[in-house]
Amino acid sequence: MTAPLLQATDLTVTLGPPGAGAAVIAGLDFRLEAGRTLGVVGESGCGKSMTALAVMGLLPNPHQVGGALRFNGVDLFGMPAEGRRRLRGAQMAMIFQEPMTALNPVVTIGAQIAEMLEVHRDASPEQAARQAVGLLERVGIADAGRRAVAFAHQLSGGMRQRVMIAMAIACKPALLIADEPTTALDVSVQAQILDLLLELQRDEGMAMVFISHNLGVVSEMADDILVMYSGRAVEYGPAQAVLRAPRHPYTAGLIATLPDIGRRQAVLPVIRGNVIAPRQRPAGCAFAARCDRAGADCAAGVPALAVVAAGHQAACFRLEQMA
Amino acid sequence: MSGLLEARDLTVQFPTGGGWLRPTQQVQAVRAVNLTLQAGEALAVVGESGSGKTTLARALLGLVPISGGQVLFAGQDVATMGDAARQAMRRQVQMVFQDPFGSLDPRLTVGGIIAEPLQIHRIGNAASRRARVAALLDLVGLPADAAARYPHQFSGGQRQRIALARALAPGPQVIIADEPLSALDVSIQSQILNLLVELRARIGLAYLLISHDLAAVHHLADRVATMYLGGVVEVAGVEDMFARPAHPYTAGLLAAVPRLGAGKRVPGGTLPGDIPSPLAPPPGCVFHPRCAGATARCGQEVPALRPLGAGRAVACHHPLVEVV
Repeated sequence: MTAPLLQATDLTVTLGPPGAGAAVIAGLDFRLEAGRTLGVVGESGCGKSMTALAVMGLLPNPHQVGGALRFNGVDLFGMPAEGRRRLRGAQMAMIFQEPMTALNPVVTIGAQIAEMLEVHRDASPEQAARQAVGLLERVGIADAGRRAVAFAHQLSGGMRQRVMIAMAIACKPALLIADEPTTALDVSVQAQILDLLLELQRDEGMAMVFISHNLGVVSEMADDILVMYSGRAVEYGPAQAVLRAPRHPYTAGLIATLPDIGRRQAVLPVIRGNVIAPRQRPAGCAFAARCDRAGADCAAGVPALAVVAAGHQAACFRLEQMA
Repeated sequence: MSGLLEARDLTVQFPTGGGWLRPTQQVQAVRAVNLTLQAGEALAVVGESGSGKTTLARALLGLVPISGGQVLFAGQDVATMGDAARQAMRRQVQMVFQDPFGSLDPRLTVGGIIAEPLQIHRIGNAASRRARVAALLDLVGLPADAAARYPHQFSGGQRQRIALARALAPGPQVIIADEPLSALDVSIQSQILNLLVELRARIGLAYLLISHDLAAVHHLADRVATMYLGGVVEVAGVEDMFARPAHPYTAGLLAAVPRLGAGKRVPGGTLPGDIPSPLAPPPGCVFHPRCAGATARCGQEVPALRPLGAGRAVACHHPLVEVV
């Protein structure tokens, strides 16, 4: 079997100076094959975005990393900064929730896309400008020649997200990380952007890490799902298996709390309490304080991911009760 | 039957542009909206950003000046009502905002925040206000000792409970809630949704809910109004609208809601394009450039909001539900 495109092994990330920080990612394993989509779900503070930044090599300083992160079999943490810089944009690219903060407000969108091609592909300014217009067309921007000289603030939110996608795919990366790419958008424009990402993936064969707190969106996009809670994976497996037959109480709780358009309930199930901060993470299972199934033994240690079905893992001491 | 809070041909315009050698233009953020909130009902307003939902809510509260039409409270025109009646209305209609981090004064204790509307409306004395604050905290599911603490000591969901307690303090009949869930974590949203349902059952509140979260709307609302580019394009009971939307725009919004556990997405069939600029609204039906079923007539003739029976109304030349 060939090496996966991206593989994390016992990944840890600690923000802050050595010895003083709290682990925002506390031992994470996952793998992503070429051309597939890994959905990463969880609430704010669970470590989804930090996972993405660790892959991109964009973690805020100071930070410490542990474990291994391999891209095409190459250890990213052992790579010099210049090598990471050359990977970014060319081999792996990222799009963010709010394109307005990710795009340069004083450079035209065409010039921003062209810059990618000049830096990574040694394109001449003329070639790059021409290809930039082609990329804008590719992401569904009408009248691309005229739009290329527009600035980000002159575009709608959906169009800005299309521009950011055009920048991200300019160098045909093998991996696209999308961090809440549709959270700031209306449901109608969200559907357009999801369609665009799927079409680009089909045509270019890129793999995606798709990060979202919206389980419905992840359900429509992902092949596999990684559910994170407080810096760890609590459930991991094929998307539809995880969503239809969740085995971790947190995953099951998240799904149950969502109002369902097909079925109106008088009272929605809730997950009591709040998301805990990394500094408050207990020695045992981090979810125990909010879990209806928790007992004294849940505080004793951190449950490891265990296989519950083919390719489907969950990290819970009470798995037999969730079957 | 007259409603509790009513918009009649309500229009809100904002001046825009202007500057050296540039003329000022008028943007119609809300165009001739007719909508009635009955006592005790939950009415949701849905639509994309830029559809005028929030401006409509603000105009109903008197937070933005209206350019045409009327706002009526309990059958009385707000513009011509006396000071005493207006004061009474301000007690009766309260607002809850999206961002529970920005909408609470960080320098006041939670008790001070909840008591402030009581002081402003000169309700009770210091002792009775303290008792009312304690009762309100209990009502929204917060501990009594929360009164002495400050907003930054609370999570997003708890802050939204504080904002609700403040809104409930003067004993309103109507709560206008503008995206009350969208700033909250997923696991917290259901807690607040349950609280909104429970409060309504206990106090008999009416809600005007502004939301783009259609699942939350379905859970909470009795009736739904769809807005597009400042105008109401469809009004219907929630089950009717979700089962058989009459306006192609409502149908497009509903079809765009992601479905959980239904397998991977198949691209296609999505509502194309963006909401147009209100500075240059399309001629005829403003939705026709994005509508798959548009005909030549749609580009020329503005469709009126017409009744469909069963309390439904639609502004479309070719509605998806038969007109009775």
